[in-house]
Amino acid sequence: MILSPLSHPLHLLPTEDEPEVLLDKESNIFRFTGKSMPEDPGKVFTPVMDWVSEYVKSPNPSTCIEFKMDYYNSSTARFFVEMLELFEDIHGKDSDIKILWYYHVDDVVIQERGEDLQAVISLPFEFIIYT
Amino acid sequence: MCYYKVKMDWNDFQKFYKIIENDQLSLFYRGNFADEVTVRLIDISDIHFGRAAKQSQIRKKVAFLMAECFQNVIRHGDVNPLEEGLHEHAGYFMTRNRSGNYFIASGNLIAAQYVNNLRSKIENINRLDQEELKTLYLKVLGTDEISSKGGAGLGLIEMARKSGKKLESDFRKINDRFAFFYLQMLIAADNHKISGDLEDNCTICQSVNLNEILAKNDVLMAYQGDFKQDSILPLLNMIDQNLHNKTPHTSLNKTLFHILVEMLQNIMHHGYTFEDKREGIFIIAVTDQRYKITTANYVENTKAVYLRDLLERFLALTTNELKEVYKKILKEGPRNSDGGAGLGLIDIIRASSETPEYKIMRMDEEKSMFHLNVLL
Repeated sequence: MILSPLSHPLHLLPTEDEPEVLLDKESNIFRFTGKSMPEDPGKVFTPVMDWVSEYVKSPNPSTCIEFKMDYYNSSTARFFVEMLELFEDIHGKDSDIKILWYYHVDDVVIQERGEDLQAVISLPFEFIIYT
Repeated sequence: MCYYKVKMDWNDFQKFYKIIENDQLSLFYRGNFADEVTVRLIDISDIHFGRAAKQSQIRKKVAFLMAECFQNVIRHGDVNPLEEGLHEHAGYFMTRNRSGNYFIASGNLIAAQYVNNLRSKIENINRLDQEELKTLYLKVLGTDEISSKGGAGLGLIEMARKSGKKLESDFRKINDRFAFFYLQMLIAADNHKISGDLEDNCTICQSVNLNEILAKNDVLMAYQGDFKQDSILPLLNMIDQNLHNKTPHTSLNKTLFHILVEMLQNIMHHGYTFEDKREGIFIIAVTDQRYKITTANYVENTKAVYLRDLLERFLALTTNELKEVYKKILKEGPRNSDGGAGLGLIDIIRASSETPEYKIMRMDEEKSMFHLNVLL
């Protein structure tokens, strides 16, 4: 059974190969952090997709999705696209969506992946460099 | 042709592979033996043990002997290969599992004046049986004879006791001041004499050969074994740790890590499965701040055809075209658990500083060998 995201944040703790995910409607925090290179990304991202599918039915007026990834593999990349497509559908209508994409100053790969995502997803991206 | 300058020499690779191909696990490491690195090496070996009680005993012995080997290399850390202009004689560590036998070896530079002393210590230890070794151990433990090299041979005695077999050693003269000291131990599956296949492929001579092949190709680490997720995570952690020790946060190191994950997970997702294992080889070499990564694994023949087509298609594209294909797959490609639908290969090609080289060789009716060389 999927619990209503209105009252239940989704908080997945990081493991050696899975990211930390925090999706919290009440606090208006939507954040992906760390590494994502699970053998089966579906295990991590199925609950995420379920949660987001519920959230977009009654979103907050503004939604800022933060990605602060050190590493993610190519199968995770596909899930990010699928998830962001759900947000694309409500952007400018039910919620103003913004993506904050963090990358380390030396991390060309994460920077480029963000740019590639930006190119295929019709949502505003803001890039933030950290050291 | 520049192929052999930047990639692991193909003949060398085949020589290397021929020796180790029937190992259940082969792990080689050359370079810096910081604690964080050695802990990871033990993790990598450890993951290959089953849960049976008998396995647990061997597992403890192997971990113990590995740690003693690292101590051995570190203890001689006063001879720094880099400072002496002998970088090709970096510290060496090897562990191999073959038909239930565990071979563990180390190699390091020592000052030439210690050679005779060390050789006679080992000969002496090898003359003793288990009871005598115990007596010697207690005797040495009780004396104050602790040399500047630490331990007065206690480590060697412990190795001989734990292994239950003769210590194998080899000394190779480097120049008038230095020699390279190899030490090998065996935890044997049974008490039979090492013969046949093991004698051909696992004696200390082969361990020396292997190190020489790896040194010639500037190899930092080589692994042959299973490529399940729980086997490759410690490998990745190991490399991450090693990079971090050297030069934290450089752009090249970040890129290297991204590419390694894709290359290793490629084997995990697409490798040929035999007896519930996906076996492959992964080699990383470093020269002049550039990384050379080689993977080799079996793939089913039908997959090999698909892989060749995909690679030929991707390799023929310009940088911009490749980027467009990447975006198209990102947007439209299938979402499944079985890898990134070619995204990983494109990531690898995009990050390479030269066009990756590959070979696909048909081995038999079922499988082909897929060999991939990437330079960063």
